[in-house]
Amino acid sequence: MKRDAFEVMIEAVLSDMVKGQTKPSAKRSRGIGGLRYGPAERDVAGVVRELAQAHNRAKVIVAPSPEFVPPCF
Amino acid sequence: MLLTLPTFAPEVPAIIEFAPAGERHLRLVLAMSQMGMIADDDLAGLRRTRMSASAIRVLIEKGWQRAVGSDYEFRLISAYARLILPNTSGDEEFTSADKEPLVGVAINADRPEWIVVGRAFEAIENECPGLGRTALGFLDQVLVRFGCPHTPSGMMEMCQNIYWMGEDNEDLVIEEMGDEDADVPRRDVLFDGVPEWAFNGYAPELPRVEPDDFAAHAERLADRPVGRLLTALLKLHQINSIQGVFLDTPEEENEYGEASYPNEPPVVIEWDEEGQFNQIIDDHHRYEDERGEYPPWVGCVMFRPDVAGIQESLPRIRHTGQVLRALDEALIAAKELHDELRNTRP
Repeated sequence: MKRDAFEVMIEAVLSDMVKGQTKPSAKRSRGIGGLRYGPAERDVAGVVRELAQAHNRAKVIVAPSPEFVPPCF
Repeated sequence: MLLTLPTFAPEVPAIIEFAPAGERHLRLVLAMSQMGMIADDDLAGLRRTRMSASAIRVLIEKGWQRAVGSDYEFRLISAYARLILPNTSGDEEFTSADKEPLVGVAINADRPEWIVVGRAFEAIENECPGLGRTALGFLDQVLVRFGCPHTPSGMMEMCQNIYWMGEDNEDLVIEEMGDEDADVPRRDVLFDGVPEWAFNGYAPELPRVEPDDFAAHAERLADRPVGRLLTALLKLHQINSIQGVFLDTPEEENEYGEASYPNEPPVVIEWDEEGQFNQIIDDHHRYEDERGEYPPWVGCVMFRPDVAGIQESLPRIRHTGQVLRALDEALIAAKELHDELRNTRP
């Protein structure tokens, strides 16, 4: 490869690299799958979250099965 | 039926895979090509349609090897240089204040070579009192860049630091302990057989030739057996006296907030017997290891991977290699003279 061609090629790759770094990220104007989220969707999401957290809080205390309880009990 | 094949474009698009090589590699190889550090022959074998990261790395390696490789070829000492090209763009250590990516050339030392040189420097001292002491000082002035020099006078400094509370001998420690038989390493034992001028660098009562007068003595004694060694030491002193060019020593602090110095001797210089300073060296390294981590390199220059950055740094990289080569040559001359004198006058 000729030196000029080599330098042009490296400069081009570097230029693309710099452009890639400075390219602004596009803002997402619509939700996933094209859905628009409004107050009703937020309420539903809030209820689902509450239920999920309540499930975590209300943990059942598991009693040991008789064969694992020491003889003194 | 005629089968029609699609026509290829006259210029097949280049396939360029630079995943393991980052922006620094590309900037550096471009600058090296612009400066002529990459030969036409290196580029001749490359295909215009395909270029990989490893091809770029080979170009960089060949170019640097050609530019500075001969400066870093040593026969005795274990020092070496390496080009540091971080792959990640976010490496803070290799990024300038204005967020420009940097590359670096660093020097380090591997496992040191152990040599015995006493007879050689005694022969110099016999020619002129004070000349041997000055000659040893020239070695210390280069070796101190790698940490405390592992030379007789460096051993003395280690003893002052680790055994004698900064004093020249054990007297103060024994006095503090109030016990004549206290288990303190004694100077007479540690330096048995070593003349005081060789290890006591600060004794004003001992003769010392001024470094500026060394050249005249080297010229006067050029035909004597010590002539070759004196010439090598003079060359070492002259090149090492150029200020501000040798690669910078890192300024780092250890976990206790104390200054952290390298501790990578490229050579251990003993006087008349192999292993005679082993106790001091072991205790010194144990003490240094307990102080915390060492800097990652003995000296380093960081620069922008462009033409100006390379032009600015290359003279420093070459100078550092030339100082180390002069050190290597002086040490070889000292070792060979010692061996020769020991064989002729056991």
